[in-house]
Formats: sequence, C-alpha cells, structure tokens
Amino acid sequence: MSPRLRMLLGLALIVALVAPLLPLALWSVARGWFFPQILPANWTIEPWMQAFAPRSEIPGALATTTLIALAAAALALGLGIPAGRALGLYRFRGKALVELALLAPVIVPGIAVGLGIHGVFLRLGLTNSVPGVVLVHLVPTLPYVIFVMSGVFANYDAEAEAQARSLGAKPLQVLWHVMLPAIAPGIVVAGLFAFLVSWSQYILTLTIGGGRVVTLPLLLYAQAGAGRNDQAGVLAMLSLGPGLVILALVARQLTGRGMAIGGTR
Amino acid sequence: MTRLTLNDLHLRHPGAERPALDALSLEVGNGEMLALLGPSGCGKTTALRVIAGLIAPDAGEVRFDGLSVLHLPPERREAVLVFQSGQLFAHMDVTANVGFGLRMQRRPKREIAMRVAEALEQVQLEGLGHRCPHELSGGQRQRVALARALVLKPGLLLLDEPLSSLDAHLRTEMRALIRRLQRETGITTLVVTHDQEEAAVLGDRVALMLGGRIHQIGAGATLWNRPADLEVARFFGGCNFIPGRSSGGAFDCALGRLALPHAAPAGEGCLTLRPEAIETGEGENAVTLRVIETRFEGLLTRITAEVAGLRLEALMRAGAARGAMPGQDIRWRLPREALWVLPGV
Repeated sequence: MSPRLRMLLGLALIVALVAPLLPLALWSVARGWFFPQILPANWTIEPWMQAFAPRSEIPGALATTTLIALAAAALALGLGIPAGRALGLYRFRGKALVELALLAPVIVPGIAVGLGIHGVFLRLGLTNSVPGVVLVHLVPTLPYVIFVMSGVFANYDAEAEAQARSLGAKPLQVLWHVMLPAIAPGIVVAGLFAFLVSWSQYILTLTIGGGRVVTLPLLLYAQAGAGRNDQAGVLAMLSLGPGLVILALVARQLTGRGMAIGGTR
Repeated sequence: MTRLTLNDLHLRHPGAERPALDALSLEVGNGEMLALLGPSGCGKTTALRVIAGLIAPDAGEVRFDGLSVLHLPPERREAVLVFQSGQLFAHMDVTANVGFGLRMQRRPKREIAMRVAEALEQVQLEGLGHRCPHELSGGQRQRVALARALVLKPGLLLLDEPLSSLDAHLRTEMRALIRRLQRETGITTLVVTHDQEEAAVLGDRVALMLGGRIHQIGAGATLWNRPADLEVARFFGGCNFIPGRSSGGAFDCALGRLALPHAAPAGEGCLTLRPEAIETGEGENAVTLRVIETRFEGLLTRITAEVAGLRLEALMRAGAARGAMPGQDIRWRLPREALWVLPGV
C-alpha cells in the first residue's frame, strides 16, 4: 500500500469515527439550531456556563465519576494482577474453565448481572452507595485487567525473581524492584482500560446506585431523554475527555509498536 | 568461605516418573572449585537450586560449614546462584545490576559505588557501567552476571552452565576468567556443566552425576581413565568393553592374557580402555585384529576392528590410521596403563 493511500484511508477512518460526535460538539455551543440549517445560526458558550453553574449537577457528577473510575481501576488492578500472574505463568487443572468464567461478565448482559447483584448488595447494605457502585464496576473492569495482565505475565520470566532472591532480595523487595518494573507498562495499559470501562458504565451504576449515585453517563442519558440537546452535548464532550487523553497517551502501545503488552522479556 | 555438604538428598518433581535427586551426597571443601558434570536432565541444576534454597528437597540435608541451612530462605543463605542465562535485570543498567544485591542489603551509596567499580574491574568491564543489558554482547552479559555475584563476596558461588551460551573462542576466555577469579577470591565454587572438557579445566575435582546421584568424584583424569562403573565409562565416550576375569595383575579374555596396571580391581568384570589410548605396533599387550571400518572424524579417525567376535574401536591421528584398510589384519598395542577393570559388570 502506498503511503498516500494509507494516509487517505487513515483520514477516512478518522472522519467516520469523529463525524457522529460533531453534532454533539456543535450542540454544546449552539443557540437555536434548526432544520435545514447546516451550522447553528448563533454561537454561544451558555450551555457550558450552565453546566458549571453553582446549581448544576455536572461538576459533582464529574467528581463522582472520576472517583469511582479511579477506585474501580485501582481495585481491579489489585485483584487482576495476581490473577493475571497465575493465568499467565502457571498451568493448572481447569485453567480453561477459569478463563471462561473470568470472561463471562463481558458476554453476559449487564442488566442481568446487575439485577442479580442488586439482590445481594441490598442485603449487604451496599445499594445506593458509591462503594457499592465501585464494587459492581469490577464486574466489567476485572476481565480486561486480568486478560491484559495474563498476556504480560505470559512473556515474563519468573526466573528473574529466583535470581533476585539468590542475590539477597526479600520477597517484597523482589516484588518492588524486579516484578513491578518489568510489568509496569502492562499495568498502565490495564489500569487505563479499567478506568475507561468504569467511566462509561450506565446500567450497572443505575441498578446499584439507584439514582442516588449520579455519574456523567446517568446525566447524559437523562438530558438526552429530556431533549436538552445543549446539555447532552456538553456532557458528551466531558465524557469523551479522558478517553481522548488516554488514547493519546497509549496509542503507540495499543498498536503493538510499543513495549507495553508482551514486551517485558 | 564455606564448606558445603550435601547429605542423602532426595527430590521428586511433582508428576515426574524418576526422581531428580536420588540419594545425592557431596562434599565441597573450603575454597575448592568443584565441577558437577552430567548430561542434561541428570538433576545437576536441581541440585544447585536446592543448595541456593529455591527448591526444598523431599529429604536430606544441606549444610554450610556443618550447619543445616534448609530452614533459611534463599536471600539469607551464604550462597549466590548465577543462572545459566545470566538473568540480568533488563530495566537496570550494568552498574545497577551489579549493585542490586548490595542495595537489597541497604548498604551506604558510597560503599556500593566503590564495590561495584571494583567488581566491574575484576571482570574487565570498566567503563561499561552505564550500558543497558541489551547493549551488551553475550560474553559481557555473562561477566556482568558474574560480577553481580562476586560483589556480594558470597561464601559459596553456584554457577549454572556459565559458558553454555557463549561462542567457542569466548568460552576459552571466560573459562580462564572464572578460574582466575576463583583462585584470587578463594570462594568455594560449585560449577555445573554438561561439557567434559569444561569440567576438567574448571574443576579442582570433577563429580559425575547420573540419574540424580553422584557416580564418581575425583580428579578429571581419574574419571576419564579409571571409571568406577560402566555408566561413567560410557559417559566419557568409552566404547571398548571386554568381558573377562581379572586376577594377579592380568586380565583373561577373548584377546588372551593382558597385563593390568597396579591396583586394578580383581574378579569377574569388564575390561575398558579409551579408544584414543590404543596404539599401533608391537610390545606388551599387542593383539591382532581385522579392520572392519574406518571413519574420518576430523582431527582423528575412528577405526573399528574385530577379533573372535569382539569389537574394539580406536581413535587415531591421521598418520597412525593410514595403514588401516577394511579387511586387513592389524597389530594393536593396548598400553597397560590405559586398561581398567569394571568389576561385576
């Protein structure tokens, strides 16, 4: 493929991906935008002012969403790194079954999972609370972390740890000085994945949070449903933010040119 | 410096048919360099890992200076294991790699810098401290791995096939370096290898390990020329085994009565001699054989000859081999000092 054709195809792809977002972006800065106008007649930043006005729910939701996504990502890493290590390094009886079970939450519809968990969380007093939402966000985030990390560990040479022990490192020193530096790029990628997946959760947040835990996707659906295109536009732009930043940060790793996944040996 | 004693070690890997260590006993003296020689899969690397504390044996004892160390984790044992692959930490440069053990001990920065520089000088890598492992050649990596162990001044150094990943010319150089450093530091060293020549050059003594236990231990030449049993003889390339009976300093067999060296075992057994020990010509223990086959093997030629249904193989230099043609009769001398009896075989 010639470089020019590649460039053209790349541009076409970008346009196809960005085009649907364009109206949302325009709505967030438009006043009175009606058919058959191609572009809004009047431009304004009022929707943005409104969104960040003292009485608006949006700043609070932004903080809640960020907090929940950070907590869910951290928790998913804490659980997913050891699990990924076990799956990546060792062969054991029933491994395929374990892998399938871990993948299941990605396949099973969120609403089914959410309703089932709701019953359990109700008895545990975890419904309508941020901790409950963080926990339920593990359902979609953990599989991503485990599979990224098991890929990283499949290329990790555990003999380095034995060598470190023999050179006088205690188990925790091995963890800190040998294992973590070797898998760090994988942790970054898995953590960002988990953050993004949690960030865009709707069904699970709604089921467990019961409307009391308000996150950006919840507001976005509400505003879009209410026909507030200007506010929906603002929320959509805010929701896109971290995704774009993260994409810019890890694009090289994700395309396989980088070292993040499977390049630790 | 540490004296190492292995006492009746047993170990069977889970799911394995044969034990990796089978009543392994061994003693390495203070400041000695012992080469643990054996084919791949004989359990020699397992033995190193047990000594280093990375695997626990099923039964038996590991003693440093007479004291059991089995209850100690690897980081608290006086032994440092250098892995076959070198196992340099890819995210650290050479200086950080060599200083790793000292940093784990939380030594002062200045002391670490000093001792690392000293160790790099010992392995002739001064000035490469800032390089990353992937910027080093195979030989350099192996030397960094060696420096990383030596800098800790361990009581016992365990080397797992230190030369196996190197080219032939680097191997000779590295062998000399290991030998020299061991002499200089006097660190008790156990070096594992599958290469007979390497074992003979490196070890003050050589221990031959087969099937999880030591078959024979002694100076290299002893193992070559005075094998303890058939397996030892076979491992060192022995191919001539003549059944018969040893009595009164002579061996009676199909070849006649052959004079034996002093102190050869008596009784029923097998006579063995190395193929390269056979000479052409007349003299003591001269026998007539019919040449069956000659095979060119580079430096030496392998000649197979037969008498009374008994086959002998000889390895000879080109000059001595020239006379041997298939179908011809030939006179071979079996030097008395090269003969040895494997009793009860």
